[in-house]
Amino acid sequence: MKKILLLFILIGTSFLSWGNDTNIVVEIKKNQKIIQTNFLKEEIKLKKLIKESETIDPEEFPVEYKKLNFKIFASLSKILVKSKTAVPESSPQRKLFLIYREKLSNLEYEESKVEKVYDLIQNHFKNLEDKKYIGTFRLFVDYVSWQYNAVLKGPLGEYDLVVTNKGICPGLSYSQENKFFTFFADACYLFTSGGVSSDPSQVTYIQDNVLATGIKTSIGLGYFVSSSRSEIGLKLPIIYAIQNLENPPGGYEVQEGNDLLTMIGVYSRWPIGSYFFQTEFSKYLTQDQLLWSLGFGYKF
Amino acid sequence: MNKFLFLFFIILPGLAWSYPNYIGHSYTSCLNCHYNPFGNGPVNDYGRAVSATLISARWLYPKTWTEEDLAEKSGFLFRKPKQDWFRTQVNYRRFRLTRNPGGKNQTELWITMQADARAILKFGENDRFIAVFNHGYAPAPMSKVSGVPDEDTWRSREHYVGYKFTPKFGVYAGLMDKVYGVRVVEHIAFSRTFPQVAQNDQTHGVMAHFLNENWEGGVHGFVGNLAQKEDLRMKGGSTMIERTVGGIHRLGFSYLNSSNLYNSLQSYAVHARLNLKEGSSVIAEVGQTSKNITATKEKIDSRYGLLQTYLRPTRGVYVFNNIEYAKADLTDDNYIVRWGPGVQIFPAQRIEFRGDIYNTRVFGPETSVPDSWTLLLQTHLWL
Repeated sequence: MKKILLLFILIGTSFLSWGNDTNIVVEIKKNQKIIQTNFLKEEIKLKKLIKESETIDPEEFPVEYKKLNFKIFASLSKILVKSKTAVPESSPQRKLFLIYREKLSNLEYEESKVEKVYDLIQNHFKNLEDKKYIGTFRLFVDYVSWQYNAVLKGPLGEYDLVVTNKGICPGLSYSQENKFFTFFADACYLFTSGGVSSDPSQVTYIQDNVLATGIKTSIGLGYFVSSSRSEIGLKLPIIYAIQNLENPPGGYEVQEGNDLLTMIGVYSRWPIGSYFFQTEFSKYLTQDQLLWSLGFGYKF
Repeated sequence: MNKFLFLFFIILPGLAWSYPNYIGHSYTSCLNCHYNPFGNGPVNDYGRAVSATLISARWLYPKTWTEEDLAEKSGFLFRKPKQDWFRTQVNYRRFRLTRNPGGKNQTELWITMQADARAILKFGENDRFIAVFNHGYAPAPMSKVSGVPDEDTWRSREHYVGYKFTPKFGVYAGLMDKVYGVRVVEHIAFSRTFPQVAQNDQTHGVMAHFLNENWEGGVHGFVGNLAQKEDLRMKGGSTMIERTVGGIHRLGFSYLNSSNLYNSLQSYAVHARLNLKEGSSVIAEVGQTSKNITATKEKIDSRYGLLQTYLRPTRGVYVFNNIEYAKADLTDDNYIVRWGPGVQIFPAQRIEFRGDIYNTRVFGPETSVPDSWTLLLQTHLWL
């Protein structure tokens, strides 16, 4: 049915010319001039009755006058349906389209066709609106926990260590999002602390509450799964952080490894009004370790 | 045994455990879909139709089948029941458990978690009187407790009768799950193991349930599972009250007190179930338990937290996070966080595939050990 309607709009009425919008505009003006010349009395009367919300008897209006209004309505729809950008409802073209829809509705002329064309145009602009990307800023604070590998080097050999940190990461994100998808970049200041403990059967080395600060930044893409704009997606975080673990005495040295950690992760987000709740679960690309976080934020 | 299992699948059919996340589809009360008003166990006719037309995808069905057709075929043996008074269901659930997947110490285990046959008798308007029988397989515990005799792995999982005096008030008696907290499907969740309301903690007792526009709750008095030796039976009572908030969310409180010859357990919790529309939901529960060991007069206080988040990218698919906190002893500084993202797929009614990754991290002032990882793949079939 939609295809038939689209065809109907594109073909227009028998005397609407094929071509660009200029020709259609000429056609509209020509029909408007015919109305002004031949049906001025009816035109004034109809506009007055609509304005005053009076009852309208369609039988009082000649069929030719109704046909001319319908042709203009069809021409306007032909222009609008070709639009590649979302034209706001307040634009002169869409306002004019609505005026002719109202006139034809009151004239009770081809009502079913008029409504179907109207729905098609509305859907066309809704689809364009849905696909339109807009920029969005968010502020957030995550509670984050992350681990990384370190090595304790001593006179008798090397011992693997795992450093476990937890803390907060306040930050900002910017996204380009439409109704379905979001592409974003975010960054937050990592303010965490943690510790390390060696395998006591090998060597005893314990450090606790050691500050680990840095930057965590990511890029990602997401998909909105519901009308409430709950979302899920993938992200590629990078952490640059510094944590200075003390070297134990006796010729031992702790090597914290690379300060730059790259990850791949999944995230999800649930909006509650302008606020939101989010989670992240990211695995390091080069280590068998993990970062997870959950946080709250505000969308501007 | 194989013949017995085969017979189960030929003769009988249902959906299994409760899925409180369906509040994301605006089902605030479990009673909509389950015979047990607090969820779990057999699903009623309406629940079966919901599982066919809302929860499960249409991927395996002919395009010509309408939603009405799916609802009609949601019954046992793909048919609409010819009578109103008898229903049968069968469930089978099997896991593949991989510890340290991809690591040096990887281990794999196949576990049959569930093989249940159920029969439901129901009479009166809106199933006013019900009798539920559920016999099935309960896997033996992985760690055997010294001095505790082995339980039969094939046994009654639940059997109870219920009578609704009014549409808002009913009384149920028999072997049932304890009324407490959010009855999540993950039986290893700390919110189920700490207060002892897990998969095999059913108890004989009497339970009253009430429901009105804004409130739902229940009181449960129990004497333990009569299949156990008398000195092991945990006797006591529990209650759970929920309040509907904003028309679509639920906030609740639970309390449980039970004891046997060897120990006593007190537990209380608050929970929230939030409907984030179109299948998305958030479930949270925070609770504390206090266990007293009679012989040593030792008291252990524990705390747990559960946060489950569900998203539904498309019909039949749920993506979730299972985030848990456990502090087994409040006097100890160590605690655990278990984080499990996963996906649950219902390609058609009667089929569920589920994958869970569990990452367990230990926090403590003098403890920093590598996380432990578990991969859980699950198949759940029902008729």
